[in-house]
Amino acid sequence: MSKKFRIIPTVQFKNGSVVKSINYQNHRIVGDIASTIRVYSRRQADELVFYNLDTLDGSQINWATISSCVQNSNMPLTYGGGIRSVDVANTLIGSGFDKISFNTVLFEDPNIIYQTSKLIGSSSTVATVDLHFMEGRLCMFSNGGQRYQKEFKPMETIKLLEELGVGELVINCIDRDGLMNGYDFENIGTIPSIAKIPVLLSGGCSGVECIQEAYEHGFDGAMMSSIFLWQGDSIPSLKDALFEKVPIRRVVQ
Amino acid sequence: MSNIGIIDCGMGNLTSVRSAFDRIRYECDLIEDARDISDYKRLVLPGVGAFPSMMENLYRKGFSTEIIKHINSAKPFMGICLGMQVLFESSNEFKETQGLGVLKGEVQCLPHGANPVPNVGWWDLQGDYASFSPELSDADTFYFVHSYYCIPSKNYDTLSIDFNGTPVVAAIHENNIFAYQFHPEKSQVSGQKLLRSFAEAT
Repeated sequence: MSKKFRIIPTVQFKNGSVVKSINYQNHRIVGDIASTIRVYSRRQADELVFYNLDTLDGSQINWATISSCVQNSNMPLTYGGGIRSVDVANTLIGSGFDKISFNTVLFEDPNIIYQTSKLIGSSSTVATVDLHFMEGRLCMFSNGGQRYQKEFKPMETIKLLEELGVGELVINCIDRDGLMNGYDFENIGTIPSIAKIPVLLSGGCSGVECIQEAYEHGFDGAMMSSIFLWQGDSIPSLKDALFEKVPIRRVVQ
Repeated sequence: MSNIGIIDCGMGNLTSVRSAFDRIRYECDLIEDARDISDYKRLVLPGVGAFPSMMENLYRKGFSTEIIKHINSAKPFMGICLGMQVLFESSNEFKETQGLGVLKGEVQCLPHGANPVPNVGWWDLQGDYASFSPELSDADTFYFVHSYYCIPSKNYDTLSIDFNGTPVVAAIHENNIFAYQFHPEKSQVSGQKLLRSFAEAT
């Protein structure tokens, strides 16, 4: 009897379609939102993380998209993208998301994260930490990878997020995004031992071996999308291969 | 009107509770006015957020008295997550706060250790499933998102998880009360088994 390691598909949404990027650039259309969510629901993914990229240019959240995401899902859902007020965060929870994920607002008005955590609880308050390994070190980014936050150091920022009441971290490596060349354990592998809260990792998933390695490093779950799109993997195929190596949740009927 | 009412005290993820019942073809209504509670045979109290603000909302909107009345009349009642915790006598989340007190015991922060707090994710459960649903088996898993947990001071029928060496209550069945620390509405096929049992409970 134990806690299960989570296998979490990521869905990025832009201009009315589900998209997939490489290094957060050149977004390619890969499907529509309703059918994508339905497929992951049918395969009983452990959770799904939805990133709304339409808000990156300052646009408001499109509530029809939100509703289409929620209506077609039977999975625990996390929303990220353009949350700049406690009200919007609370409305997202009320409309069917279980967790909401902050990123850019940390660098603009961190008090919003603190107030949101107080209202909806820290267990529903997530932060996505976008990192880019360059010039020999990990650098922090915001605004969907468009802005370099030079004065912020990753490990100190993680402590700050915990103090603000964040209850879960997504550590994402922009320089691995879409490449399917493995998670960057060399640079981020120690984060679960530094953080007090659950840590998920994202960016570069290449399949079964690197998911197993993520579990061994103490991550709480692994996020991925490219391997489902380009490599023929599926939630059931990953779970069949991981069974007996990693405590994963088998799908029941 | 349906016979399942979901209490809307302005907090929490009501949409997913409602769609979970829809999916297994049981109708349910949201209850915004405490006076409507007596119209329903079955009540569900979901909850996301902090204990003090939920209790404040329950009192301010008059739900607390009506919930206790419903439970005392032996009609089926389901509390989910924070909706389970408020059934207890007190919690120390942020500050010592009184709960509804229909279950004996208190609510405290999860013990720290190898499993990080908050506890987020899927677990299988220990205990005797039979009084919760005849359909449950060892293969069933349930989705948790919480930082606090209930410590009963009385012997109830429970299911539990082993969290950092402490048995943490995941489910309680006491007469007409079903209380779940995890989210049956988010636990896919396993959760549907519990919702179905509740919808059919007499």
